Amino acid sequence: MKAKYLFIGLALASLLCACNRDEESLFDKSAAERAQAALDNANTVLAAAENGWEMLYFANTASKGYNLIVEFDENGRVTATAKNSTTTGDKIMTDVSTWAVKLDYGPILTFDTYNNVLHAWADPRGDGDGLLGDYEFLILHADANYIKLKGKKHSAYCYLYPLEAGKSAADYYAEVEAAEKKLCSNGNIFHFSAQDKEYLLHDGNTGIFTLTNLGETSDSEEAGSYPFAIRRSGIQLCYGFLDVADTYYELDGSVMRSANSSISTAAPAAYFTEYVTLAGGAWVIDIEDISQTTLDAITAVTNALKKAYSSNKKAGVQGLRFKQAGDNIVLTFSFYGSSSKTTEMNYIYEMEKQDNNLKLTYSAPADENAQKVLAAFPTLEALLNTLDGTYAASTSDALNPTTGIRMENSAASTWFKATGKTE
Amino acid sequence: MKRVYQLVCIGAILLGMASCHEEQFGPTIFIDPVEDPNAYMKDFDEWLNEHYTIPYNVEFRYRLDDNATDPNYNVVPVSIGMADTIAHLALYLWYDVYDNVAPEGFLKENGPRIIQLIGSAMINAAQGTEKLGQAEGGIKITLMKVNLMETNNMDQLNEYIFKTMHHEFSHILHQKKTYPKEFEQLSTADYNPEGWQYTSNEEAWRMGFASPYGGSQAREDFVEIIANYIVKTDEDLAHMLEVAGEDGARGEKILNQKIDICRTWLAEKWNLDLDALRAEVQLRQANLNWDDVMNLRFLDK
Repeated sequence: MKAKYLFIGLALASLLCACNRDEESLFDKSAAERAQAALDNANTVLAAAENGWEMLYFANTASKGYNLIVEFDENGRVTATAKNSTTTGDKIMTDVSTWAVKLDYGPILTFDTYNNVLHAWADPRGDGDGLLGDYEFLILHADANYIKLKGKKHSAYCYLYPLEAGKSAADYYAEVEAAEKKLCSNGNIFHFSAQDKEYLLHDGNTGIFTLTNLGETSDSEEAGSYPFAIRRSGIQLCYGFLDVADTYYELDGSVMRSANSSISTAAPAAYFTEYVTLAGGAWVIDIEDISQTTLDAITAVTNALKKAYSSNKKAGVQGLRFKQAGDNIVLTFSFYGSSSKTTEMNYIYEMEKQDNNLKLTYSAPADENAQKVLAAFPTLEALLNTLDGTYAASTSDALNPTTGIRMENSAASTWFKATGKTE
Repeated sequence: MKRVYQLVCIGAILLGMASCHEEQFGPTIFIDPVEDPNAYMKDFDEWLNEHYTIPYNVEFRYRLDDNATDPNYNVVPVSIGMADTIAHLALYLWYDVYDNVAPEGFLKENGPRIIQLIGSAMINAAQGTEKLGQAEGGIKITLMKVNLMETNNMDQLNEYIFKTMHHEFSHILHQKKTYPKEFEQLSTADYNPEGWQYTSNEEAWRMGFASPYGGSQAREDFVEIIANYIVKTDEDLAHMLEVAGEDGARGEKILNQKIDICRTWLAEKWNLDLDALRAEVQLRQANLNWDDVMNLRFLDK
């Protein structure tokens, strides 16, 4: 009897459980077919850019991003061009080799024969490491407008954007250099705004931003070095930039924007102070293109110097610049005295931001020698006092105010122009 | 009634089993690769097939797959130009040499199945060493630092390419038929696996090694003897032996003993005449004509 029930149970179980095919397939194609589709897509996308790709190559976390031009043809040939001081001696270099897309743990783009341009960062050279770049890359994203690659061995990152027609390599690099100069010359500093926080980006001329928290200590969690590459229309960041990693910041007027964050410079009055106090820059005053009152004061000092040092034809005021010296902001007064070399004396100023204005107040000589010069040339004190006042600041280049800032004291009808210079 | 129960139950079980037939699979899960008639490297690949794969049963790999390299080292691929040059030169100074000297079909049967070119060396900066080649499992020879070869510098080509090929091929041979125990006994106390790189050539010779690397361990010593004997010119070989015997050093005697052992082993185990091999290589080195090499005129027999 027991055997009978067992038999019936087995039969029912077999019928009920044999073919439970209610599971829906997650994929409509096999793994091999999907892998092949990924390969085909990568091959097609890479070779489809008729004018090639602008490739931004970040070899490692200590390396700036480099601008390359790469053209993939459908027959397996890649033509790569670069111009930089690290691998090409600042000359345009082009080389031809082979490429392929293969399957590993995802579609892999490999440059499998040596190319003087593409392999320069991966070549181990004398120390076995070289510049720690890669030549095999996992394709993280590939469509007609954007490709993102990650190096298999050293996690070098590359970002590719299609190039427009009719652009020669010489034109491209001239435009990149112009953009670099525009954005990064004279130690320009930026504000980076994201997640309701604001940070300062400096050292842009190195290709690696140093990020510090504005208003907080610089040893915060986010503080550190972040490589970037200059594009003709913005900045490409890399390597886990806060929570907005791998983002391209496209130029939009005087701001570079991505989806959720932006890069810009501070308003001119604030920039004037930040540049001196946070970036180690100096504002060099144009002593020829300056308000008449100030020019008269400069002329008076020059005349006094010429009288005192009549044997030196060059005697006179050579320059004025605001900078940081120790804990103080000073005006450095440069002049020719008895020597053919310039002498410099520092005079302390208070620099106070008032809404959108900046108040400059002469305080005292910075040291004993400055005091002696002041005593010897009383007209200098008049000059120093002439610069006192509350200034409205303006610039014609909001992306890089170091190229020229104008300070206007409407109450005293005085003004001066200054350009930024790293000390 | 009992029989009806049984039939129904058996029917249900069979129905359950039958309803579970597996899907039909094709012969492979992979998609057939498509040959590209316009491939950029098609001509070179066909040339390699004609001159390496068909006659010698060897795949000459110039493209680099990083998976096939030691992950502890950073390396880069060989350039197409150097791959082309080395492929021609290896026919001239290696494959065709064996065709002239060794028994028929020797390399097709015993040669490596894969020759892999790598553009850079495998550099170990901590130890101050660089690896120029390696033989793996008796089937693959990897030649490194190929991008840095100067084609007008035969000493350099010998040191980095052809000596390495003879070196690695000798590994393949002794991995198939072991070398005599008496060889190891000649320098047992002098092998220094960790510090060989701090030895100069002259010091190595006086100890009875053909090179500093030969002093690292017996099997490297064995293949370095063969490789150096084949590629060194008469003048260089005489110089090595002279220095090895200076001031009463025992190196000259040991080196000659080792060369004799290698000579005998190659003759007895492989039917190879070491001196004939050397003579053929020396003749070709001395009469190297790049135009002939790149146009394969040396194959006109």
